[in-house]
Amino acid sequence: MSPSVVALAVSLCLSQSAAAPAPVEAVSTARTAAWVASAVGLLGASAAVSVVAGSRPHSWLVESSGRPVPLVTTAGFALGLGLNFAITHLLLPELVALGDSPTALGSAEAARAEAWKRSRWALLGAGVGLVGMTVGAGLEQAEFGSGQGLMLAGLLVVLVGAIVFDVLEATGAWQGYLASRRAP
Amino acid sequence: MKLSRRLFLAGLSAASCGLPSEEGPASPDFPLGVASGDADADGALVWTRYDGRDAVQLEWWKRDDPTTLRTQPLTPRDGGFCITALEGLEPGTWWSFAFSTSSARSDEGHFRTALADDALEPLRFGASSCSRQNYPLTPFLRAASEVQCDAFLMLGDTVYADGADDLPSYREKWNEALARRPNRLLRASTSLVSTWDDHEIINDASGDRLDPARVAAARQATFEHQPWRADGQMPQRLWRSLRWGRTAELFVLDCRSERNHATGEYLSRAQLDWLKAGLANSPATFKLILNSVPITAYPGAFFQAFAADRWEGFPAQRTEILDFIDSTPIDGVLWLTGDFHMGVAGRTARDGVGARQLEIAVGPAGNFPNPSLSYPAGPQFDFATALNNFTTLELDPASRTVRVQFFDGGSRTLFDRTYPL
Repeated sequence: MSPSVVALAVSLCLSQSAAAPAPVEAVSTARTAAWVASAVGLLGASAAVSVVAGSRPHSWLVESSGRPVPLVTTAGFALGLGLNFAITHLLLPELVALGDSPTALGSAEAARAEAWKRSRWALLGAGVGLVGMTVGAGLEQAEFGSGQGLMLAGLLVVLVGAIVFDVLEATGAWQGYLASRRAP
Repeated sequence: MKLSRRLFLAGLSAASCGLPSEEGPASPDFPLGVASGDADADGALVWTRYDGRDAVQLEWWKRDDPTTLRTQPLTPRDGGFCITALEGLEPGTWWSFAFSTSSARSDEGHFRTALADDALEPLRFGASSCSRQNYPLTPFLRAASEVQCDAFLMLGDTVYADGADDLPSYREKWNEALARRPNRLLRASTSLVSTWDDHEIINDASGDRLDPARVAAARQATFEHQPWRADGQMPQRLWRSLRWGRTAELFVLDCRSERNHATGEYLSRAQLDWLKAGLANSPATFKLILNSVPITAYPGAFFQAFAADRWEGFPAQRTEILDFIDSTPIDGVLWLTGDFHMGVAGRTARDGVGARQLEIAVGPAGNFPNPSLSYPAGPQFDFATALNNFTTLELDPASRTVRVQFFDGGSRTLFDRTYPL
């Protein structure tokens, strides 16, 4: 189980009690479970698509020419990060509708706004990591061995940033949804 | 044994049927085909595994002259292994051999005896490493069918025996590997000179950190499946040297089982001293060191992350041998290595000690590519590829040059450069 999934589950358990002062009835356990399952599935699918698409330029070059080009590898990571952002940020908040009931409806826009409010810093961090990777790749292409450390550090920041982004998107979307729930 | 006309004709007929078939071996009684190895000017070791119960006979003849057919009875060892030294052969000549019983005949194998001690002529060796059981081995098919190598150098990871821990399980891993057609064809096509690396034992194997019983089982299984000449005084010793006239001497190292982290020894002191003395005293123009893990210093975080597993993790010995070669000085040294899942041509250091010594990393023959995000490049390195491949080394003693070529498993030549040594 990935760290983002664990963090998401813990956060959602806490949010059940934190949502007590909501003006409408609490979301049922069944609806919460349905949303959790959908969110986990979406995050997993987003990660898989991003990894496959992001690694493809690197692996295509290695398989065809026998060696990678660091800047192309980095561009692949940027593509993967972009895909992950797009899938998660556009689709995840829409899933909160699974929590709706005949007596209470929430807002996907509110969910997305709260998610963005929380996750943007993680995305910024991943972006900084990507810049580091790009600089490292440029150095590496100029002189073998000179940019690997920066590439590696940037890669770690990108990965951590992407995981944190996913967790904050999910928890932020759910919290934003709970806060927006109103009687129809 | 006197050869009758009838027996000779029967032998020829059987020989024509004994060529490796498209899929399986010539006979299921010899499921792993045949091999030869450690050729010297006088002969070579020949090898097979026999799974039947009949008496086994070895046949050999000059490759281009079947009238020279000779035979000799053999008694398989435990496990059915037949390993024997053919002796008294002419230097520098091609020979063929096969094993037979009353009802079965093995594939045919071929080898060239090493050059006479004082002979000085060009040689071509093939080389590769890292042939994992579940990956295609198309480079071996190409090497066996398109290139005539005087010998083929196996730089280790010939089998991926990870998960095995006793003799039966190691034997099973070897069986999986050598039953494959590319391995059978390559091993039949010319003699082998081989060493082992970690995967003949376990990933990142280091002798001082493993159960001695496991290492002993892996060693026995390796000796059973590779035609290596055992040392008379120390039969468990893997390191040895082989002369091909005055053209080349091959120094085969054991880079795994004699490590001692406590004393900083990558090779035992005896092995390192033997190597230094051998290099210093060799009359050969070219001294090829078969070294299963790179001695090259690879810069950068990706490559330094795993440096502890190779010479760089034992810096005193690394500096000692490179400095010895530089300062003596010893000409004609060529380091050969494997392990990296990446073919590389370059110097062992960018500057300082070892900067003029050439190391060629061969393989992988069939494996996944090195996962680094960046591959070696100039000025220290001339070439790097992760494509599955094999290498040829054309040694020309007249010009004191070695032509290094990398080939993929299809039709491409990946690299072609001639280096003065």
